[in-house]
Amino acid sequence: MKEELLQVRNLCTYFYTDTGVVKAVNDVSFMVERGQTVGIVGESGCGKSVMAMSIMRLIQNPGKIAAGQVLFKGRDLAGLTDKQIRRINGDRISMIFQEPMTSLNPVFTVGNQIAEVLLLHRNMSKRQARERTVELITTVGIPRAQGVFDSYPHELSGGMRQRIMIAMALACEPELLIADEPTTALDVTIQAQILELLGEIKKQYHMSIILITHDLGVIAEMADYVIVMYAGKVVERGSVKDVFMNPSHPYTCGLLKSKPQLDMENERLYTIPGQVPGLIELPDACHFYDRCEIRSSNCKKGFPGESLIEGSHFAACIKAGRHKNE
Amino acid sequence: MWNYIVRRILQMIPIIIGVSLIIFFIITLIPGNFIDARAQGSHMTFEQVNHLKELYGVNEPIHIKYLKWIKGAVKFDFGDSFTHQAPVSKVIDTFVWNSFTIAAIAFLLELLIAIPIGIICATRQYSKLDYFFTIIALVGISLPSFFLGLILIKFFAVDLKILPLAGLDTPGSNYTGFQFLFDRLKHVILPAFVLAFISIGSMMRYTRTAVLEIIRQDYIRTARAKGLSEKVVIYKHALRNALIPIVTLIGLSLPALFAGAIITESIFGIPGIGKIALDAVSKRDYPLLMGFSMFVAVLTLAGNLLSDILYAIVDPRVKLK
Repeated sequence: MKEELLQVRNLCTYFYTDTGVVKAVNDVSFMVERGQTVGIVGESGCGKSVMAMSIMRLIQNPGKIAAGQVLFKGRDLAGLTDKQIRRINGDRISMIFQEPMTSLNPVFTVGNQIAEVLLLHRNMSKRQARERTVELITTVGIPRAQGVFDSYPHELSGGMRQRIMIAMALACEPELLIADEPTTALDVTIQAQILELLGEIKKQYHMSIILITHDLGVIAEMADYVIVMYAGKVVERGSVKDVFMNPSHPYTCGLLKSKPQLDMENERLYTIPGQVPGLIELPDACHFYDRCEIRSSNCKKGFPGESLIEGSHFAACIKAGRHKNE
Repeated sequence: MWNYIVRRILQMIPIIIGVSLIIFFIITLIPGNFIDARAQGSHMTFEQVNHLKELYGVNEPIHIKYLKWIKGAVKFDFGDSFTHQAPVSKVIDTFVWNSFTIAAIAFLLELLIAIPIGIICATRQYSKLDYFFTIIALVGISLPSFFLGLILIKFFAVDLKILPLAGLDTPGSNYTGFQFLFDRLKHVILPAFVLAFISIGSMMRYTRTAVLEIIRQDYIRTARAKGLSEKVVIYKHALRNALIPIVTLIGLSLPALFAGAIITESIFGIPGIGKIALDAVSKRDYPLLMGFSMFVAVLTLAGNLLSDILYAIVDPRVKLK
């Protein structure tokens, strides 16, 4: 029986800047089941990270969750007090970030930074926290854990630091792990190791993962379900197999076409023409209109609602499912 | 660490020699001397003046004078002050602690007020509170100390009569122990406040900038994602980083603690080293002036070293080798 862990309903996160309201996340809905890995893909600036930070309520001024619900085990996180959300963050939901170089505090030892989570959420004594931290450091595949405990972040490599971040996120065995581009800043061999580690940990702790990336290869390898975001909106969502085999939104098709393939020779990579639109005062039309290859005059009549392709596969395009055959 | 400190201290020796040369020659080359200054308008005969010049060694060649002076200086003997008729080191020792008391209290006040306010302004950037304190800071920076000092004297000493007008102790009093301390405190509070108020502004803006820069860092987001309270995020994770540049400033203000504050000391009639040094200039008391300049130079070097050591203590990324 599939159990629903997180349900995001019509989430809107807006930034109220001097030049206007930036609708970074605009009416986004999706669901994460227990033990599932949900991948979120999209270009830089499409709202992936803001969406992830909205779940944990890490949005700082001038940003605000303007509307919508984030139901975690039936409880609306968007409506909790600051104190209540702090008891969930780091305990039931935790997050790892893109930049392992700057995501650790340079003036505290990495061991202390991991143990801090345990001391906060688990009421452990300092000694228990230290023992558990050493265990965690070993779990994420770092040898000499005792020695690493007392190291400062600058003494470790990028891959090691990302492992430390993962250990920190794992400390309280969360039910949901949000990984915001966990491998983007690492080189390719380390990327593979980190992804493998995430896979193992997911199985071991039976966690759900929200994996944010712009790397379709990572999604194909890791995720069960995929959400494609464009300009703050979800344009397509479905199981990885459905979306990759039968992409139904022209943006998803474009993304898949622009992926390099080994058997392609002497050809330039495909690029989607045009630029991501600015998120201030978007017109009341399909946001992808200017760049779309199959647009028609009907596309200017408001942002299209999601239409069902099949099963749990949706696309926000009035031509969804049809254009391929045309 | 110890190796580093010993090496830095050894490196100071040539610098101090250079400084002593500059101080000595500039001051010696100033036209006029103590004897001529005293003889003017008095009834001393030419013979008496020459005798005195002989006695004080005014007519010796400059390099001999320097060698004599530096020979004594190595043993902390900077000669005798002309005006005070006492060894220079003793004169400095007598007056410097008066200045130090006030400067130290002012410095503590400055840190205790400026750093918390700087943090508050940073965490509530562009709020009304932030603007309010920014204005106060600007007022403090732009207000001359003599003006602020006189206003405070007028208000607290003349109108309200709750604080003394000037000096360090109540004249004629023979307080001891706790009473003495309380009396001293009453005298010191106004000048210390003036000194603190004029420097709070820059320290506060400095803290504000440092904290603002830190709270935008990724590791602050990480700290929040752990579920730490805003207090812990700011006062542990952010402040510890923001203090790094502030701590080095603390080391560098070491000489300022001992150098005296000429204007404030004059306004409040405090027998501090700043006033004494100024008098030494006008009375051409060169031994005192040179001794005092050397004293400040050594303190400056020590302050630099202290600041480097503090830097290594608060920032684990800095290793002293």
